[in-house]
Amino acid sequence: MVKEKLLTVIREQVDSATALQNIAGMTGGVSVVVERSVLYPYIRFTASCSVPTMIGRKAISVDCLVDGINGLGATADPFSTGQLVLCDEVRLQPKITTDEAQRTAQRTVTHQLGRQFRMIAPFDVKLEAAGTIYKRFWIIKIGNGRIMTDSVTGNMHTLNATAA
Amino acid sequence: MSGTVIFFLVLYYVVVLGIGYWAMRRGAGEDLEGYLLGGRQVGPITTALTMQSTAMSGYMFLGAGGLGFAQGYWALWYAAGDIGGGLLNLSVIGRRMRKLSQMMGALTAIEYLEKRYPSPAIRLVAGSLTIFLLGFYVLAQLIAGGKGMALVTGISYPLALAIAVGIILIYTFMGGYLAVAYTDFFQSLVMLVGVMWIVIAALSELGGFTAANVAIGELDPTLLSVWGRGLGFEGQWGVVAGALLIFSVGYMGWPHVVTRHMAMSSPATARRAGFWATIWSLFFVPAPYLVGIFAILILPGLDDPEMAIFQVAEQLLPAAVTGLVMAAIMAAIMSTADSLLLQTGSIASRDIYERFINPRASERQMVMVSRGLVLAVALVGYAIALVEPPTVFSIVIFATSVLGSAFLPAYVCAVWWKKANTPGALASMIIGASVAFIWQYAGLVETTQMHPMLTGVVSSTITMIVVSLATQKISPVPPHVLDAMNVSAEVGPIPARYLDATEFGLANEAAAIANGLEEGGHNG
Repeated sequence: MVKEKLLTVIREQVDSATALQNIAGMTGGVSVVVERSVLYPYIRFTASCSVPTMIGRKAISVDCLVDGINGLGATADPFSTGQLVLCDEVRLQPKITTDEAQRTAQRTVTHQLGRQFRMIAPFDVKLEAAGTIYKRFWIIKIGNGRIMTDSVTGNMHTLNATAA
Repeated sequence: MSGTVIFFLVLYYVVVLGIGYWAMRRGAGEDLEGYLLGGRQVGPITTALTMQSTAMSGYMFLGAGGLGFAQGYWALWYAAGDIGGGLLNLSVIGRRMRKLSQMMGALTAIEYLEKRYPSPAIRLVAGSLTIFLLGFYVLAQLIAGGKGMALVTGISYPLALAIAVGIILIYTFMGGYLAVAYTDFFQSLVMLVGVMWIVIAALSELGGFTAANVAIGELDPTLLSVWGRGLGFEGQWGVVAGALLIFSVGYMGWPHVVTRHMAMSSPATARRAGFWATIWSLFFVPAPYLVGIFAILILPGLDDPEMAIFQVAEQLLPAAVTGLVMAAIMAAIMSTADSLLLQTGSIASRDIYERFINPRASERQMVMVSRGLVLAVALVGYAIALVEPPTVFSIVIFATSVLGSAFLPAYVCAVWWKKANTPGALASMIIGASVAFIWQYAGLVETTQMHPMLTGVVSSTITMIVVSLATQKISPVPPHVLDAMNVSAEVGPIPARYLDATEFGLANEAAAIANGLEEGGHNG
């Protein structure tokens, strides 16, 4: 009996048909086809911070996602998640530990706060780990090349020809 | 200074604070998204004007006008370079640096250099040089703020300087309400409209461009030439080249400017913002120089040429407009000083203290180090500005010449030349900074008729090439850096129209997915 693998994924906003349609609209007759989809890992943290303002300190929170493979951090827009049973998707495995991710998240959030608020102040950033979540990317073959489309934002990026 | 001017000055700050408060209420609520990611909603025009507003320092309002007053049309050599500098910077290194810095996980411009040229020495030298030179740049803002505050309020220069320094420190330590793109946008519009208004008022006063030029020619025909007062720079192409280079290619070597590439949201926004920034510069940049030139006629007995713009505004504009324009100028000067101090503090705490002295430093310790350095820079700057203040022009030209000479080849070669290695970058930074510094302070500009920016950049570029080539075997560029450079320059078989739609932010995921698919991926 095959054990089902349940993954937490960021809820999609762009399905494969839409991703294909978006790219087909730019091809001018070149054939495009959805080749497969890839689930990409991120380690999620919720950061609680305290920002000094003219009228006292203000408690705020933000999601921080750390790329599970490259170890790079970024603050994130609000998003919702769902559960997914793994079928024929390619799932990439995280390569960094939670401790490494936590250090990155701490640094990312602190840096962003200082840059955005243009001030030198302690923000008392407290992180809560919320596990690994995945985001789906559609891999679309176009002529001799490939493009991946983010299933949440619809943003695209080319993939190098030899790798795909 | 009239009560009307003071009233409109206060009104300006109330409006700016109001915009900041409104934007915070609108965007934030109880979570951080409105602040951290609000920039993603900001369009290219707002982005461009915000960038220009924070980039325009005391130099534009004091140094540029002072140079125009002192040298006539020769001053426009500096303006000519400046107009295209922003676009050149974005075009040459913007897109690639954005991608490469993200792929390497660099948060600051100094950290980026260390990751591209792996060596602690790179970070130590680059960080120390930047702190030292940005300190000079801050000094120029303090002097500009003090002089402006003294004129606007009518109080003495020492007291005005103390107030300006105090306000800048409060900005830096408390911040918050100023960090909203819309306040910078508003400030930028007021600055542009205000400066254009001063130019038009000056031209109207003088009977138009032709009449103004005729009058200047009658006073001293050499002021109309491209060689300066008394033809003092005649045939000195080395000085002219430096004047053109300093604010054109020089931008590409300023860590506090190139760091903006690392925060760009998308290539499309960057391109359109670059277009709008250039349009803005086309109108704004020559204006302070021209006002300085016209001040030769309007204010013939002007004691301090660097006050030309303030004095012309006060003399020609309605009191209400003078108040608004002066407030916008003061806000721009203080905002620039605040940004420079923040970067200086950040480099001191993150790139020097955490990296070399206390790798396990807590957030509070980092804040202490940042604040300590900022306070020291402000106090030393205050003392210098009080005791023997140099001109804003001379400080800015010194600091930017040395910065550009030290870092231009390092930043440009980082994305364009795969053989640029650590010894090459290190030697280039040291030689470039040393040559520009010595050229300035040994009086070699007069004897050689070469601008320190020109000699500095030429020597640092030659050093980068020679040392990198000579040390390829003992210090090759690491494979992971070459891979990242290849990806950052990737064009591949995809037509250009798809690349236009490419999202920078996905570069790392794209590389990992490409590798994952090559390895067969992990299904389940």
